[in-house]
Amino acid sequence: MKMIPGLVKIAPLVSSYELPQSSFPQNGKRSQRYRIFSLAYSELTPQGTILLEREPVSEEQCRLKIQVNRPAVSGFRHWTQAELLCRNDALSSPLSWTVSTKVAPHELAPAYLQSGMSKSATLEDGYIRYQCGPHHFREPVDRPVTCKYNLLDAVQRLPFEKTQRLEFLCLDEFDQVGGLQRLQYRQTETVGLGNGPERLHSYQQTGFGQVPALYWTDSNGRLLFVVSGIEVLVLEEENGRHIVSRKDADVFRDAVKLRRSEGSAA
Amino acid sequence: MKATRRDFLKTASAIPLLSLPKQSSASPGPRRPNILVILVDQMNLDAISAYRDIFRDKAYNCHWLETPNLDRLVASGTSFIESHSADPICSPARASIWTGRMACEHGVIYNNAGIDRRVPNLGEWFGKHSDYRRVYCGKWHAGGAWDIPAVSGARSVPGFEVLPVGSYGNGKVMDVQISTAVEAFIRNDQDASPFLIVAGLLNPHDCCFWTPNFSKGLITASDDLYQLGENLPVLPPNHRKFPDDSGLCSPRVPEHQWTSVQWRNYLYDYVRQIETLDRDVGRMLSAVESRSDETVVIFTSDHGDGNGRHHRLAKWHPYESSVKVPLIISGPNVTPGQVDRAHLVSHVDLVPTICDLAGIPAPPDVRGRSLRPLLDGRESVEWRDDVYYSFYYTGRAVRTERYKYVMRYAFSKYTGRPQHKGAGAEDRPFVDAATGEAARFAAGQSHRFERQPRELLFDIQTDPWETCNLAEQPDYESVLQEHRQRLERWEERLTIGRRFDRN
Repeated sequence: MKMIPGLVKIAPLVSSYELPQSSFPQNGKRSQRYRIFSLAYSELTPQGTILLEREPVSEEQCRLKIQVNRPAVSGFRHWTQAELLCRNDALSSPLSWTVSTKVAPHELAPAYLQSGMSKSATLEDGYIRYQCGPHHFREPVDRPVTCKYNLLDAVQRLPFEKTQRLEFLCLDEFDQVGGLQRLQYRQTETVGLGNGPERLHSYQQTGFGQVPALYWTDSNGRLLFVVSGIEVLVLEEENGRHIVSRKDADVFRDAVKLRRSEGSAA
Repeated sequence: MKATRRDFLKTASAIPLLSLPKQSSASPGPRRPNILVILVDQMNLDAISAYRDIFRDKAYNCHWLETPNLDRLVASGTSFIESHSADPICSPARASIWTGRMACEHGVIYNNAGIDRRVPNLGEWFGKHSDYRRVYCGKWHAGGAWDIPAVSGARSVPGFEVLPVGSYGNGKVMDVQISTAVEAFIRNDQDASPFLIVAGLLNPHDCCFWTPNFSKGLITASDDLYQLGENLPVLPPNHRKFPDDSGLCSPRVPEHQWTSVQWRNYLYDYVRQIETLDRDVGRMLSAVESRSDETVVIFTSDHGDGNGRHHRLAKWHPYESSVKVPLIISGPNVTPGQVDRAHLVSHVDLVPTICDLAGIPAPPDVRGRSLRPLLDGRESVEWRDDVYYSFYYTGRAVRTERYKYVMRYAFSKYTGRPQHKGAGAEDRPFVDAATGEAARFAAGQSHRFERQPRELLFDIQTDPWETCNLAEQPDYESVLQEHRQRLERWEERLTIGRRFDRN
């Protein structure tokens, strides 16, 4: 694979990835599951999943349900469950949301060792107001705001090269506001996927606390890959349909030895 | 007035070998503070934006990032600028943090070795002598061949309950698990006993996966891939200064591995990882602030990162970028906003400090001192005038207020790693000068061991970037001699440990 930013790091996976042929409702109801990988020790290692469910509420608003689960030791997992009412704007900006986290062996199990908590929040009048148990606190914000995972939805609704550079604040895991972020259209490339060459489009995110990230979508806007430093997200399921990669092996479960190409190692 | 070496020796050795009574929550007196220790991985001392007035050169990290939560901690507590790792590589450094002993004493002289079973860690000590609840969450890597401890069984952390998080050692995956789990614990805990909880964050260690000489390089051959332009940090003034090429230190990054722009991309990503870490810190601080009782917060890193200084990445070496670490302490009776630039402190001071803050005596033979007298704003405190650390198996260094002296014993490469595995296998990294055989170090007998011929001596006050080796300049012979003697005196009083994979 030629030097395509981000994708060159996961070339074996990209070249066997079968792009879904179904229609893609950019602003409609959909469910997508992304596999999290880490690029470390020259391997691509599975690190959990992000389930992103989108449901339109009105012309102006949608509801996002986001569940992140990550593996932990001793048979435990770390669970994050969020539900957000969002604007249908370029950032899928949240208006109000709840988020729960815990360490537990499975989704319905009680939190282990007091590790569970829930927060609710609203964004209005230039403040994010949080409530966590009996505690209230608020944080001023002076720019548009979104959440890290909302961007997975937002980039699927942007108009590629017509996208203006977006400047905003980004909530890390729904509760910690970072500094200025920038998201902009980066480039369009023809990329060899498992079912042939496809035009893919990318957006680049840089900013406070953000190792530069590239979001790669297909021509329908469907987000396929996110690459940021050692973190890689890959769309593995859409509306309940599994997406094939590597055909003969489940690349989403087995660590894949990375090809040490000229481009992936300096 | 400064303490003399003899004063310090007296203080350090005066800790009695007592069988201490276990405190209970029913004990009279005020409730002891909760303690939160945030231990991060590979963070440079200068990577806190609140330190811009201290590290004025634009090449320091503080000018290229924003750390609002660490800044908040600096403002609410006392931070130390002359703060040293006891051995700048993960396992040795961490074992020193949790035992208060030097690397050759607890036996962890390289990654994944086990702590000498005669040396208690802080959790075990607290378990015997207090009613504190002890919880560990995140990276341990202070003994035994794993990073991430499990809840029970062979991979548990002695002396601590484990809050189990990620299975794989990188910060991008794990740190948010750690910070949210620790935040929740702190918010939820209503036990009558105070807690000691450790958050072992992994960032910015992820930058190790950018490293070309480990075949992990993530930066592509393109220069300025993300078109960051002037946002890329500048290279340090000692980027191409090599005071040592004799094998005294670990190898530096080979020439032509990276262009200068690729180095700057590395620095850019490194500080972004610290900003991410800062948000994890913010999450835990907000939980501490929500409590009505008192909590001591201690923030430090196991070691620093080369950051392109002396053409280096990572750690292992004795330069300031590797060995100097952030150390911030806040809590009851800690002077807020105090930045201590005078006192030479070390990671081995943490165990006695934490014990002091919890109201229990420190374990016997710890090499450090409680920092408490420096925290409460006393005007004059007698303190040590040099600090010792080891590096890269057999390297040794002594830092005084003005100078840094570095030497290295010859390395036998006999570390007791798996190729030497067997009952009673032990590390013998030194070389006996008389026989040429691999040997264990013996306190007070340093003359017995082969040394590398080169030594380093830097004037840290006039040459903070360590560019000029004074060891071979005749004018500095007396300074060199004095520092050799200081090293000898430090080594005389160490109790050499053995390697045991007891954890």
